[in-house]
Amino acid sequence: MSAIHYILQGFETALLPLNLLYVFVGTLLGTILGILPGIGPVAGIALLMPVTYGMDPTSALILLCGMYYGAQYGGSATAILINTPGEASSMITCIDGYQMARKGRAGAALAVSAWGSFIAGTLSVIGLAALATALSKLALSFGPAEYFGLMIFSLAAVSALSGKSPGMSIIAVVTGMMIATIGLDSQTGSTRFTLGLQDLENGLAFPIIAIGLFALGEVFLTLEEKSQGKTEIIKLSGSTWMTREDWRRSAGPIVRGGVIGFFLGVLPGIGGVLASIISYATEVRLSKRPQEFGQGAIEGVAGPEAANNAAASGSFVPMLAMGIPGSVTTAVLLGVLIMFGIQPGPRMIDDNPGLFWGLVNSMYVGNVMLLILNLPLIGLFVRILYTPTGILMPLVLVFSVIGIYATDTNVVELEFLLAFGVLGYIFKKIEMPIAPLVLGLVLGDTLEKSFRQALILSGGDPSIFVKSPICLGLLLVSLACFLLPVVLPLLRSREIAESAENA
Amino acid sequence: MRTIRKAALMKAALLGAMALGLLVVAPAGAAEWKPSRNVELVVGAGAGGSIDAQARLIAQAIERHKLIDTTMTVVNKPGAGSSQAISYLGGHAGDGHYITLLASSWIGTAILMNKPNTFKEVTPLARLFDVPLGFIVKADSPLKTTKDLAEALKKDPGAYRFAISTTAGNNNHLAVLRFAQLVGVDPKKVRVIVNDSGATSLTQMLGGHLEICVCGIGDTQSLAKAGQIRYLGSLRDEPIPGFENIPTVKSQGYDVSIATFYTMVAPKGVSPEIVGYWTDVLAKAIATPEVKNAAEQLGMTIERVDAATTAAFITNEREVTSKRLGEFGFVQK
Repeated sequence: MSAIHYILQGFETALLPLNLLYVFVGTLLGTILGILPGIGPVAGIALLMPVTYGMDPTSALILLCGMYYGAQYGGSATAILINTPGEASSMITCIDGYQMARKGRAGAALAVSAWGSFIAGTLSVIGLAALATALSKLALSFGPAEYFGLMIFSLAAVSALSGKSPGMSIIAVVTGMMIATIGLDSQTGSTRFTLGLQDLENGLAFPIIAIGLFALGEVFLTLEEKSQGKTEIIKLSGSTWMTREDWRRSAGPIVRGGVIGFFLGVLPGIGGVLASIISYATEVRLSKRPQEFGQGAIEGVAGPEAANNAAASGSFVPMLAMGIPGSVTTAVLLGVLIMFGIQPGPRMIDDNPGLFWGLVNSMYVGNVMLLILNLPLIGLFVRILYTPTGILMPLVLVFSVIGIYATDTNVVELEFLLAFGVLGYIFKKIEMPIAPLVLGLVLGDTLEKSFRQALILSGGDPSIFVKSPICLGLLLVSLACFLLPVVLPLLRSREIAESAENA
Repeated sequence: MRTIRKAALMKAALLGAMALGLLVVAPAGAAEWKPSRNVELVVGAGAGGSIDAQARLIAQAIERHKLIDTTMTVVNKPGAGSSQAISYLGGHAGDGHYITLLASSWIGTAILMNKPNTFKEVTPLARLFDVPLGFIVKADSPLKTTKDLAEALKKDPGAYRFAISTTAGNNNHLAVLRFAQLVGVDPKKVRVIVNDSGATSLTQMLGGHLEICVCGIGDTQSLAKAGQIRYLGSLRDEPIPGFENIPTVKSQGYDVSIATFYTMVAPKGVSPEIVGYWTDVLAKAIATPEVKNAAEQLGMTIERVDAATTAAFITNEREVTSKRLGEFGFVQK
């Protein structure tokens, strides 16, 4: 009863004219950024962060989340048209989407991707509402020890699953946590690792790090790779209306993909990529004509696209209800949340019901908008693909610098920005994953605080961490996360081998 | 050719949108002063706590009654007893578009951090609210009175654990330590954790992770009415108007009385015009019916202390706090 009340209230927030405008701008910019070559959704969100200063946190998140799923849609468009996934989760869309495009059915592929995302999005908003409310009931059982366990689990899940080597990820997580200790210590009020610099007393502002690592890092990398060859861009062809036959073939995959995607999305760290792989494998198995997969089967676009969109909504459950982001993008959004002074966790839904439900419902509104926006306009958006890097990258550079400088007009911050740009470049060069660093940075403070609080409460006795069943359970699952990467690649290669075999 | 031109057009639109956003945050000059763009009301604590609620109340009253021509947003900069907020304010010296509502804890923090310069970072505008605090326990706690708590602590100083907000060494913290001292327990043995907001402390207490919260009495009323919490005593000299049924801790034999007050400040270096402008707006804001009603409901005393008196008050409070902190071995590094 009260859940329904909150959902309606959430729509009230989401449908405020100003917030509608933010959803619109967010999804529009997101779609464009998702399509723009070289600059992904994370860099886009990072770039837009300084603009949200002084905005109401709900509106800011609505804008940035709009960019998130807008960019996902844009990413699907590039997957279909140039065989290049915008985000890892649209990797699978390339297989049949690109083939459809080559056969002159690019329009239908884009349409099924939009409709699939929309229907799956609708399903998962309902799931999100139900599950997040259930999770928030746990709020009272979460004391400092349990929060500590939760943070460890979050860091373990992402570092174990997001990179090629867990060792690299752990180095990145710890680097992030080290950066988080710079500045004022919230428990005693003393300053740490400021090197005597006044500019470091507040710690390093999150946008400096995010824009540096993602946007500038990308610029530096592109500078180097500029001379590389280009993929052929396929002209948009075919109507963006789906035929009755298309619908008949897509309906099942969309619903199944939505359900698979949502539940996998809830699992931290795995999210979209696995969801689209499993959805694809499921469709191959269930199909009466598995031989068509890989040759442009519409089911192969519908299922994974629905799955990765549902996974995106699903990943908001752990992010909002427990403070665990499932992807780099949600890690950055989490950073924004904390920047606004909102502590994610089981208590967040109770403390900020307006923000939570407003955001969830704006995602739904955003899906509607993407549908209205993208079906007629996708042809126009696709032209963005022709933007030369020589124009795009300097612009990214300009916006990075303006974004940081305009906020505090402090030149020292630009030096920090440059340093993180170089760090981002190095990370990409040595294939060190950036997501764990961002997460360590974002959660480091809560982790440390909970750890110290728990020990004060227990009078210095560390057994408090194993006496609490929730904390013990979370610590054990964290351990299991490091065993998963050994098992997961085997699982993945088998799935792909199977689907390839069947195709 | 044509496609490229169209793409460039799209880009221009995109950049335009971004640039428009950026313009909003660009600084503007000021002559005869009134705000020319969005005003940030900075709160040195997380969203959802008592001080956050007061700040939002004032911001709402200011917007609804159009007391300023521009918009006003509440920005949370939690952490280290308003130090984060003051530091943030310090980055906007002389700019009247930033004001901060400070809980009294900022004074203790500045002393603890050995940063006398903090007092130079702000320009006091007005002292606005006085917020009565109390010792709060869960409704099913075996403790009925402050005396019970004292006896329990005497037996085992670690048996009952306290949560305070928002920083170590603030008035709430000092109240707990002073109480321990009066009871005859080593204050160092009492377990006290520090949270970003009172709301967090209350949730932790209701979840059974600790036993006693030092929190505002006004903003916890709804929990008391719902039968979830009880007050062992209020930390005032006199019973609080409207809450006369809560005995003071003092009347139960332990002379612990603290005031928590909220002070609005501007950054250092603001012109007298800016101070004048804001004291005027704030006076109007606290006279609005919504602020008055809310204050009454929350058991807060509305104050309207002018800028000069507020400054003198802060100086006095600084001396007293410094002395108390010394007593409990807090000072100095």
